[in-house]
Amino acid sequence: MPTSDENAVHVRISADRLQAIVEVEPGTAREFVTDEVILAIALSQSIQQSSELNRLIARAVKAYDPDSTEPFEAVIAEGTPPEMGRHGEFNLEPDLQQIYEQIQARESEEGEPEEPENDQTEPQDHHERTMLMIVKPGQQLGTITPPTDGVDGVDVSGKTIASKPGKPPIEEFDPESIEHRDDHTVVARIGGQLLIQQGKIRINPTLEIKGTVDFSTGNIHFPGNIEIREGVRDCFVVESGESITVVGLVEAATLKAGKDIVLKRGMAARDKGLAEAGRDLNAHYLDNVSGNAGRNLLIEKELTNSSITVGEKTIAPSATIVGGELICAGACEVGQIGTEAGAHTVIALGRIDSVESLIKEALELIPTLNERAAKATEQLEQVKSSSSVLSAKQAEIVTELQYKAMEAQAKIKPLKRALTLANTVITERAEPRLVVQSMLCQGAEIRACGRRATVTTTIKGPVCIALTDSGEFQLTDLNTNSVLAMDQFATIDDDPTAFDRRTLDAELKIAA
Amino acid sequence: MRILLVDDSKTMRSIQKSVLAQIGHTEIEEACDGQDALSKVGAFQPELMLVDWNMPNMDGITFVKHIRQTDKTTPIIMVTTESEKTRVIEAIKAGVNNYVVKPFTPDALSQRINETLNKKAA
Repeated sequence: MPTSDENAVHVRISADRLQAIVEVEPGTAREFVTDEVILAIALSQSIQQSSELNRLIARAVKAYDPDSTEPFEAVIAEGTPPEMGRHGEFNLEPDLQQIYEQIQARESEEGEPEEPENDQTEPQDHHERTMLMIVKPGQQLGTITPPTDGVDGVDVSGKTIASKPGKPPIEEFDPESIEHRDDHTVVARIGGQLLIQQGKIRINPTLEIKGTVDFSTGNIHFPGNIEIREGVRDCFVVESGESITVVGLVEAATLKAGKDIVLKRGMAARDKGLAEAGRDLNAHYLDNVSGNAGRNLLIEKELTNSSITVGEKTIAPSATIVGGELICAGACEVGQIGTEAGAHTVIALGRIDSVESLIKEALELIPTLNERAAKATEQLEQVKSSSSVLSAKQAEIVTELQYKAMEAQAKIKPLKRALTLANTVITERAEPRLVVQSMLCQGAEIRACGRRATVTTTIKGPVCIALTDSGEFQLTDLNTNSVLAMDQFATIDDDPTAFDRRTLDAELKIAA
Repeated sequence: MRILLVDDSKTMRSIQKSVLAQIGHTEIEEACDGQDALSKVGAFQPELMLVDWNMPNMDGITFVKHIRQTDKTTPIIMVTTESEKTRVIEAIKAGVNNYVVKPFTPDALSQRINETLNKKAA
């Protein structure tokens, strides 16, 4: 039964005020559902008048079916929703992001790290899979997407619906170590470990490993100082542009530091480990280690079966050196050398192997170049003397021979300059002097400046072994300051491993 | 500076090359005769040329004459065993800027190169 009530037509506004909907009860007579009626109701509810409102009302009126038993609804006005501002974001560079995700995954796990399984199709060294975000100065760490303001909306009454601006990224960057540039890139001011903790991002110039260097960390290549609270496992590599300190035991690993290496406990390298320090190598003990110290070697307890080269001094007054070879440019002070059982232990004094190997090469090269120059000159003379007028072919041969002679001579000059310099370095830095506090045991071999003393009878300390001006060993009892005859305790002969200083002297005289 | 070396002897070219390297020139192209040189001049655009006289296919003097038809300015040094005065005059007339007689010492060659380049710069 159609109703004749005008009140059967309503306009409802949605809760968010973004839609106005005309609602008509079923059976309402068509004369009550007209454009004018609906527009009047809409305007009475403050809906903004517009051609779009008129169009949608007309469409609703047309769609209305008075015979339908269902209630009728049609949208007659629509507002525009506001666009909320996007929040700002900081995105790490993909390589750092990958490591960061691995760190987070690792932190959520527990237990001893295991060696990752090898992908058979793509062999890779899992030791090199670092679990630390290590960055260099100037390296881009990521980019910031700034927040946006958003766009205001309008409701069906034409009123503004305010948008909300996005918030800046939650991350806080340490201004001392990280630079946030105008182009929204984030760049490292310093080298070090990138740390992200509770939204705070900073670079620590010192890398602190709270545990052990193993598969949980991977190999470490770090520009700054490294402090390792526990040890370093077999086959891992720790490289630092500054210094490395290890509190625990170092196994057969590789340690390389631009400055110092400090091993509070020691290193048991089983012939595979390497320790290279640009400055000091300082350890409680070293066992089966190969390595070098650019400056000093400091050993507290023991140096066993190791091969170490030292740029300046060896300071080990309480330590025992057993087996292996110690090559030391400067003075050397140790507790005991060798064992009473006669362990073969070599101490080479006043030797700078890096310089000496260059001298050896230069000394071999100079005669070759001299020979080449002489041969070219001789051939030159032969061609010149063979005829008074040179043929075209002879003229070219003469040019070639002149060039060969000149080239060989030109190469000799810088070599001789380098030899002079090398000799100065050796003279200034080499100090072939050994102090043994406790015992110099039979079987030990002392080498210095081309001479070798193989100890045949154990000598009790404190004693000092140095070289006289004539280059012979001199043994002094430091308790009495009396000079003892070295050949009573040792066999003395030439050191076959050293270069012949007399050859160098001769070359330097020629150069002068 | 781009320098073209034209000589049928590889040894001569290599000596000239190392003399040039000693005085700081490393942008060098080589040609084994006049014809080979003509084919390389367009692409390489040399700023100095060292040319031998006696070469197969096309000799140095013919090459110089070809070049001077279109290029009057690029300095050319003739490096040759031809030491007679008439030959030197012929080469100068063809457009050669300087003349080095083989055998030469590396010092003599580098001196002539520097002379020629300084003259051009002036």
